[in-house]
Amino acid sequence: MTDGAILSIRKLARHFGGLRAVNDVSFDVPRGSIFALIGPNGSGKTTLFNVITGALAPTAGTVVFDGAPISGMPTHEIVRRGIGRTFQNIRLFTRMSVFHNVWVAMRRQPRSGNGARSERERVEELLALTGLSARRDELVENLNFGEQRRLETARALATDPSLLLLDEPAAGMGAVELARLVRDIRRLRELGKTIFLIEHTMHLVMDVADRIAVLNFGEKIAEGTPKEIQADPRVIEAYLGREHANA
Amino acid sequence: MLDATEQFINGLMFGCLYALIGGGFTILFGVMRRFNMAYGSTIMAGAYVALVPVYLFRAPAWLMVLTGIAAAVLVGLLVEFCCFRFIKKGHELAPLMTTIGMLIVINEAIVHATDAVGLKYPSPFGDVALELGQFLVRRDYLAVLVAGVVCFTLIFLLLYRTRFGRAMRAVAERPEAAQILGVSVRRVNVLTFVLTSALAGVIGFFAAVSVGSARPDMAFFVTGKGLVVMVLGGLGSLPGAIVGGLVLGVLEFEATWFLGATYRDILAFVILFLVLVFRPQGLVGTRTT
Repeated sequence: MTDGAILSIRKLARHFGGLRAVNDVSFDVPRGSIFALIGPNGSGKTTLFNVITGALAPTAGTVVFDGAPISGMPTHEIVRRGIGRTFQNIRLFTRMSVFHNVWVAMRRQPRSGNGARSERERVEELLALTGLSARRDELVENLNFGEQRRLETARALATDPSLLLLDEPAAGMGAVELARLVRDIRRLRELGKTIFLIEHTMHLVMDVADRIAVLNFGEKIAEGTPKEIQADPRVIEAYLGREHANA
Repeated sequence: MLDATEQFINGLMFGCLYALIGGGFTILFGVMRRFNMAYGSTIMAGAYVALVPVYLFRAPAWLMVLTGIAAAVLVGLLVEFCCFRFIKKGHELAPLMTTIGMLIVINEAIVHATDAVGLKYPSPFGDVALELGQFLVRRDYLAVLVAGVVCFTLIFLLLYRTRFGRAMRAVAERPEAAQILGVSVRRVNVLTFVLTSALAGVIGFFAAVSVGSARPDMAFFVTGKGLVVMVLGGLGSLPGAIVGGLVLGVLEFEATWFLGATYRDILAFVILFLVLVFRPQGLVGTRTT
């Protein structure tokens, strides 16, 4: 719609039989922003990610990425257009080393001289970026939880996405890892990536996001800056109120 | 005990054929998590079609192998298209039924085309046994050994040294994660069929050479051995298929020597039974592809 949007969700719906997991949802993710999608458990956030990445076909509506509709395309084609993703439950290749997990995601580059060498270098760069260089030859099972999450991010970055979808990147993280995550997300934005994340950790979202959309029972109930969202009575009722009560 | 030793050597060499059969089943199972019961008939189709150039002119062995590979790849693509491509996700057992159907169709086609009479196979490696020190070694078994070593070397190089191989390993472990990294699962599946079917062409040729004929019961025989080897080594494990194939080869030859040839074919299933009861994860037991 607007020139500034890298991703436009238009009247998107995904139903499972009678269950309306996502219903009539529209919003834009501005290019170069950090955009967060929040909502209670089961509100349709991961379903929305699955529709964006082509794992699920939409029941209705469209997804426009970089000006072109991508709904209905196979996942690998969507990835090649520039969308990367991490999973809520970590899905690394446990039989491969840290290095190979990232290397798998390397696409064939236009041949410009020493192709194979630069591919290795790019893997090393991503491992350095995510602080995993020292662990490059370890098997995945020897990494701690935070390292595994960072490896998933490194792997997603290997597909060279312009839009990176992070599904609950802070889940299970301690304070130190969380601080590192905030730093990493900001650094990725500085590198020109647009970040679109699902997150439950409220202070992380409020801290790092430029814009927030809120889902409840599959429908968008609010959208705005962190300040606006925190003040929105519908959000407080659906989500923040309970979250704060528990905190 | 010289003859028992000789049987051991023969068993190892012939076991390479079993290892290749098990390897073919295993690669496809590893990547797709599906059984291809038509694999035996793909092998048999390769063995039969490899004879065509022999009927036309005095074709050399390499031309027979290439013809067998080409035929088996075509059959394999047919199997993929008919039995796998349109089966929806989540119907893991459906291809088991469709491929059994295809197994019957291909077998019947061959039976009708040849009046169910076995066709004599040339012996391109010569009939005279080779004397290696004190042992007599059959040249066709030696050829099987070489074929086994060459094929497995190529397969491991492909899996661990190429872009396609790493995509295959990624799809084998986590198809949904491979997809989100830009790998086309369908493309990997089809190319896995091409790879395993090409292997089937090689197997078909060497199996028929070492038996001396192409017979319509070959698919049944090969399927039985392949499944036994696969389970013996550990489902989905390629090193397991190699170990399982060699073990089965040796045991069969020793059984023939000590018990008599009639016990040979029942042995595979006795071993299968014992492994399933006492070591259900297989001899090698790690799940690597």
